[in-house]
Amino acid sequence: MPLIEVNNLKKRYSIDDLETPALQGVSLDVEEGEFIAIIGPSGSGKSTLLHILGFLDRPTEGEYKFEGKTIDDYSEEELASVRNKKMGFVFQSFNLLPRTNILENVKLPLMYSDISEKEWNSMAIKAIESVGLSHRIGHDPSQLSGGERQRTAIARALIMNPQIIFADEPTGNLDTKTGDSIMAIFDKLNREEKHTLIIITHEKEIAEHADRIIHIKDGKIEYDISTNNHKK
Amino acid sequence: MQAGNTLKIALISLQTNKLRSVLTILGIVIGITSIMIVMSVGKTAENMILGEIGGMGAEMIVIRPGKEPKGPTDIAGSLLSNSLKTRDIEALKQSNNVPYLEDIAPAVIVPGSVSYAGETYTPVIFGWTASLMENMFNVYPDEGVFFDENDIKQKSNVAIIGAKVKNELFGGSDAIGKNIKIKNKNFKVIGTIAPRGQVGFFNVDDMVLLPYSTAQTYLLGIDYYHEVIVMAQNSELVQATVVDINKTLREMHNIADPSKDDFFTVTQEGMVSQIKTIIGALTIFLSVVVAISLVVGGIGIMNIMFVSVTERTREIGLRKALGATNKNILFQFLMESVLLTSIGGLVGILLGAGFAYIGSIGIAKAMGTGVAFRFPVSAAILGLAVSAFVGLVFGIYPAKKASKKDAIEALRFE
Repeated sequence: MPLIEVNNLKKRYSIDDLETPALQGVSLDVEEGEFIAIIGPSGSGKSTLLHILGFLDRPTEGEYKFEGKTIDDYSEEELASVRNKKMGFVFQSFNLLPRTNILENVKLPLMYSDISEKEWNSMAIKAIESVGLSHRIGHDPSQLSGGERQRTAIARALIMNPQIIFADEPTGNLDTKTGDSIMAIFDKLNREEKHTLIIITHEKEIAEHADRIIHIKDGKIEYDISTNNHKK
Repeated sequence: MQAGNTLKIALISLQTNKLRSVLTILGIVIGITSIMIVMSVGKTAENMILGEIGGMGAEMIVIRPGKEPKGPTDIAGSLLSNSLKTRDIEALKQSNNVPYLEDIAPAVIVPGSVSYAGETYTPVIFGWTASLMENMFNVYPDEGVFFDENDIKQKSNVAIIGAKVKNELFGGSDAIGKNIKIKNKNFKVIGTIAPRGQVGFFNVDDMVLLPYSTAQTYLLGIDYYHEVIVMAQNSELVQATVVDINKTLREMHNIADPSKDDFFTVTQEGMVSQIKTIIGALTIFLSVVVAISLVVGGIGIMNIMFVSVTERTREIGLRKALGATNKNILFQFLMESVLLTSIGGLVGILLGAGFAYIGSIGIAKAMGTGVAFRFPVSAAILGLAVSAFVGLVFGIYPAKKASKKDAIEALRFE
């Protein structure tokens, strides 16, 4: 059974009685352990797709099954619980809490889990170590470079050991060199730790890290191809 | 999510905005401080005044002429009335009229000042019986003697002076045997009272006592009394004695309808309930003012919570993405406002208790008694409950707004 099954997914936004179609019938399956890049020009609907896949939004039409259960069967509370336990998010603008140190930032998802507080510190330290930021643990986000901030965000996405990590333009605010180091972390997460990854990007070089590239244009999948990466 | 986590999240976010948090709770701090001061000073003042009345003695009944005053302006009417005369005193002394009467003493108040060798001072001058001072208030002469029944009968020109009066007129030198002048009449000082401060309603130190007959005839030119003090045999018999006094005086004055009484009685019990009523009404009035200040403080909290919710829109979006439910967000912001106001309440309680303590020292100084401060536990509990309640009431709307924010919109918010 695929982790994600999407069938003829449609999403329309209505602003001031004006209906704007964002997704116009998208179908795709995601297997566990896959590394997918979604690319496309801005306004193509790739972010909308990611938001729906990430349980942050509901589709207007079509079917979305996560772990075989359709999104319509999840209550708001259950959606939140799935986001907390099974999904990790990495954003373009990092979204770290200001004036809150790295350790506390990384702990954030734990506060909404059932995990006992006694384990929080060791879990957070482990996640921070895995992105190579142990020396920054007590620092505030303002004292960190862009790359370090994004690594903190990745540690936060990892801490609950989710099945799938969604990254929305994770290198969009970073220079090429730093972007590469972030992608190296994603590569490792997928190849070594077998996390399922879905990354949105508009940069071809970034997309080439993935096993599979889905190109979206005008709310439809233009092509869905496999790269040779998984054979490496 | 455990409740402890919500508290933790709220604490962290309050800490990250320290100055704002402090400024926000100022309104609550002031409101709760006011509650504490009002309640505590009210209680202290009540205790002190009741203590004073207690000093007056439970057996004591004061008869005053005129209609019973219903307000401050009626007191003048009481002083001007001439309904209590010597023949009334004689009638009350009859044991078949008032069987439980232990002692009776008429009194007059003499406005004016006393002078000696160029020194002038304005004390409280009473025409009274000296025996009453000894029997009722345990006030005895420090030097010399008190005047007696004989002096009253003969309308002697003698005076007893309090410690402060003595000091003002004579300084350190001896006062006994000297002649002081009141309204150009000479009075020989035959006794002084040791410093005692407040006794009953009077500051004994600031008193000059004359035989009431002397004061009536030579100083005031009147044949009535301003006040008659009666002692019942014991406090149990006060009510019965009041009934007998009323009956006797109505007979003497030919009054059939009690509502037409031209005199009234005051007892310790009556005064206690009167003062409690006055202080209670004052406390309620001040509490209303304080409540208004708390509402203003609450609106301040609401305002800053709205600002905070808008400012932290992205944070709300992020939290939702990381697994926070609407309820989690609601409780986080609600907890923040309740925590804010409760901290404000705690600070207010401490400040209020401090000010109340200082206030009670002030009252003690003004009234010449010991400091009677007690930490107002009930006011503290009330203050804390009220402050938490204000946080809840004024925090719920902003918190609801925060929880309803759409995660995606919130994450996109710039």
